[in-house]
Amino acid sequence: MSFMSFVKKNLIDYFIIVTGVNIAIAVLGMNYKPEELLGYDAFFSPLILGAVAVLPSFVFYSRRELSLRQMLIRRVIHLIVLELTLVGFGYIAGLLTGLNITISFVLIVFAVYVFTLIIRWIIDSKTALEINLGLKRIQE
Amino acid sequence: MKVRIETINKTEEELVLIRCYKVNDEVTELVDFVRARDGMVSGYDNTQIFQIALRDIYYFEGVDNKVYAYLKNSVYEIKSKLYELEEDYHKRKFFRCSKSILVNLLKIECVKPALNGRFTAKLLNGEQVIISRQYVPELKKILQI
Repeated sequence: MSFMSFVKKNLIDYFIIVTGVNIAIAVLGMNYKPEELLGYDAFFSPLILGAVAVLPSFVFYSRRELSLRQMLIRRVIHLIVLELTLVGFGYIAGLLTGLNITISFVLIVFAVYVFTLIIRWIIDSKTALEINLGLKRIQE
Repeated sequence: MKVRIETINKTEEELVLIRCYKVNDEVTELVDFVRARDGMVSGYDNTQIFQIALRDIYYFEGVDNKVYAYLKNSVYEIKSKLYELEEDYHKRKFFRCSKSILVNLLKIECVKPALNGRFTAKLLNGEQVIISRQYVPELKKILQI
């Protein structure tokens, strides 16, 4: 994949995350702290969170096709970098104040990461099944 | 017999037209020759040249500016660029499945998702090739999924 295609793909991911964070802030805020007033600076938090979440994805960039082993190594590095950046952001933003909450946060990020990979695997399995049926059709 | 060659655009289908008074031995010989050439590709094995039927090729792979054709048990160098083969043989079920591989769809046994977020195609000879995620929509289009 060319660098520009990679950047384009990540830019799409970035805006999806920003929109998701916006929705989460709106829904959680309306339900749990409806009286809270936010300043203009609050508009920056989804943008910053989006960047924090997307920047570690650059670990996957390669001009060559990655082998299974290379991809697995980068996947592990990505998870570690993602955990570190999110925890770092949590501390700077004052969201993570103690060890227990930090450990819980790390575990939740890990669980969500694994969950998304499982969902992706299920979707890919369905796609593979469709492709196999299509292949059978043209081979007959 | 006069010979006339007309250059056409890549978008048009190539055609050999023989205009004759009657179909004699000479014409039949020409037809056989054209038919034999159709669906064949020249493969190089050190000093020898072989005519390989496309149906016998499992996949083409580009490695260090060279292109190789992989058959069931043998490999031949092809003196064409991968993108040229892709243009010439996409109608013959050859599909660009990654940056460096053009696979024969008729030689794929099954496709499975890989752990690295891509797909692997197991070929009828037991070999496996990677299908990059970015080429999957094109494959689905070809298979009319």
